[in-house]
Amino acid sequence: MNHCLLHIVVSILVFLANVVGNTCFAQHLENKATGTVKNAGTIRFKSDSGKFKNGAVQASFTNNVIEFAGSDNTFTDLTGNTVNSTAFGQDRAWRVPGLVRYKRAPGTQNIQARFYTDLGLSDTAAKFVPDSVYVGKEYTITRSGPRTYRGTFFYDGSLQQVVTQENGLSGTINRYNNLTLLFSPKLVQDNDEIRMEGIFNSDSLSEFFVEGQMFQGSRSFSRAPIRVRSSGSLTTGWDISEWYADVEVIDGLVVIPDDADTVTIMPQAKLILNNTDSARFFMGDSTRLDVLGLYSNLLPPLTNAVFDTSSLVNYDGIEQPQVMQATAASNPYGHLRTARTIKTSVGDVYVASTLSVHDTNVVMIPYRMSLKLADAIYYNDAEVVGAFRRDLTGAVADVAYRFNNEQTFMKYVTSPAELTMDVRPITRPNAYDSTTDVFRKITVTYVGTWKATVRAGYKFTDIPTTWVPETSERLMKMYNAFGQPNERAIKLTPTVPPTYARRAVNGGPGLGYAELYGIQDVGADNIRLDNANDLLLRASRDVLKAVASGRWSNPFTWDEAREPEPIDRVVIDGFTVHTGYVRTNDNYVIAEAFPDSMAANVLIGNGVNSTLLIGSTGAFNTFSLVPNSRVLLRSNRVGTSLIPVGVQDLTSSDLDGGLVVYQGSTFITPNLTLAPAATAFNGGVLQVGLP
Amino acid sequence: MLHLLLIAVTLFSVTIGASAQILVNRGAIIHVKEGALMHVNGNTENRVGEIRVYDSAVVEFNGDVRIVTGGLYMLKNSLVTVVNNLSIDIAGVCWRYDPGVMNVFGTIFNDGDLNNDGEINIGTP
Repeated sequence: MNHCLLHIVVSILVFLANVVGNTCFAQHLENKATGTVKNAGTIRFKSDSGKFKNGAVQASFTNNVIEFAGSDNTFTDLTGNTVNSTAFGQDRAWRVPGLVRYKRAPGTQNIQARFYTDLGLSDTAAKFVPDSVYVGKEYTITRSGPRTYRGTFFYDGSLQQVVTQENGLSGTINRYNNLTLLFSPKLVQDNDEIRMEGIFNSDSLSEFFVEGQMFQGSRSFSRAPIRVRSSGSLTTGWDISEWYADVEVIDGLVVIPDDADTVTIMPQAKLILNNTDSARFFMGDSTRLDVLGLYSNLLPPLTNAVFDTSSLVNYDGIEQPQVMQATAASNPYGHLRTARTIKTSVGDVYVASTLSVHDTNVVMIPYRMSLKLADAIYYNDAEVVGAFRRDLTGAVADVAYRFNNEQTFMKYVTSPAELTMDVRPITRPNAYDSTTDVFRKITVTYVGTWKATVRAGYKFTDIPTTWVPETSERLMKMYNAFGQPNERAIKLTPTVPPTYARRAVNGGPGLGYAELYGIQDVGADNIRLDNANDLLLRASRDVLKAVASGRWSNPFTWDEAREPEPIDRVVIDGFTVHTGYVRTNDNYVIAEAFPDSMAANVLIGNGVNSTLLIGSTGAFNTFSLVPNSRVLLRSNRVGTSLIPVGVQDLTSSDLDGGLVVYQGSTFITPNLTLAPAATAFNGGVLQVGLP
Repeated sequence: MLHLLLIAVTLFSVTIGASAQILVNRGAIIHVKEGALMHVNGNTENRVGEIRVYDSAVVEFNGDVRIVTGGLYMLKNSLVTVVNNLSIDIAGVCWRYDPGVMNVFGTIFNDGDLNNDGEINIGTP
């Protein structure tokens, strides 16, 4: 019996050893150097570690289907190497022919990083797709468990390929990580949805047809045209996108989603919206489109492009000029930025938010730039040349609404519904006088009633060489200039005195300006700028008229809001002007700038209180007209009161005395003419004639 | 009686794990005709000649199979199972026609021609 039991034990051990031995075989296909494998059917690897080992030349293997059912099946050479050998799929030259199908139900399955011709994933096991999986023809997913992508998945066939749907909503499960398209056109099929997490790349041969929905992940770099058609849609990623080739929207939608980083149309590339309502473009909240190439919307109503008000379109190309795409009033750009080269437009450009113009001009002729209330910001003296319209609905009083350049704006007391300034540098304005005027045409058109402070800028290049010596930027004034057939210019003096502010360019860079308060659309000739007339800048030296009682040196005593200069002719009529000391009517303490050459000519008119008082402050006590034999002071005023000349009158009251020289003061005029009965009171020194 | 049974089990075990050739073909054409069954409980070596497995026949090689020259041809709907390894030498041919299955539980070593129009399963899960 013991012998019997021993025999049983030995037999069972031998049996088990054989069974275990059988199941522990290597379970590969080893195709050695002389072998050929012609597989028109299916060769299936069922063990987890089964390998297709190859030691023969690449042509030794033809294939219909290799099916990997294990968890870690691979292609290797005879020694187990996967690269730099005879392993199938190690590179493009050794691409695995036919279909490699990973088909497994339980657990997980690792896809080998290979160059496949066709690749299929099926059955319920989770699939891990590593970096550097290349598919030359078809990638099919058939009732597969979840796919997790790592690294980059490549479509690198030489004939058109379909990009297989993967549309997981986040992460890299059932959703491509990086995706690269190479060597041939690629297609997102109608009704398919492609989503990815990482970087999109395409080479110059991989024209990309989007008929379904394509959602890019982070960055994207497309080097071949993208054509969106058949109601497809392309949504850029959250990081930057660079389009090195055209993006054509034939029938579908391109979306730059909210908060995405910059999308750049590279030089030579175009974003084209075809002439159909169904070719659409949308820029979301806080997005940016850099146009280094061209953006072109071929649908005339332009309503197929929608820009969030916080979006930015940045024309930053090097083409000279770079052409900007027009927008619809109902679908304006959000923010608009221009830089680098001169910009032109193919139509009216509407902007909902800000305009920033860098480096060079934007030439809108014959169209117009249209903003609402947001800022227009200029750098490097750039301008918008041509019509610049503002929709001023809701405009706030006393806020500067800038128009064509940094120094051209209006601050409204009353704002119109809209106002356009058409500014054209180096262009003849209405009623132009080449000896005195700025060669810049500023045409103002408007809808609605308005009153404003108006500032108009100009450049040194607008100042002609034909100005006469008496003309000076310091004298710059604004005129309401009428065009043909009755060209004329009326000086604007809306207030007394006019409140001019000026900055001269003095031959340098930058913008000079003249600014005047109180111009409006209606009213007397001297306060009104008529609709469609030019705002003329004239720097002539006009006769300077006192428009208020005050000190000679006080700009606001005079109609041009400046102190008379030696070359000026001056009229004092109906006002009391004092020199050399302070009176309480204006308490003006700044001394006269030209005490020894006050003016070239002075006329004291015959109006009541027409008086010139010559006083002194300490040693500052001698005043003279220009010492030239032709210089004259003429007084027509017949004073109605006796002016005490022993003590300077410090009050704010007007005096009616004609010419008055106080004790302790000296006044010199080369010529003095007193009209009949005109009065002159002298308590100091009155010197007539040149020594 | 029990002893005899144990001896039989032992012999069977030894057979499927054996390395000695059981079937050696030196030039014959072995026809496994339509619908037939054939079991080889040991290694098979086809030195010359052919093994032809016809439609719907079932062959189970319970050992290694080596095809030195000649070939193993599996026609329609035949089922061939190699429990151990299949070796195809440089002048050997193994041809699985469609439809039909060949199972090789071990490794296929191919120095010759391996042609498959049907299904070849390698290894076990």
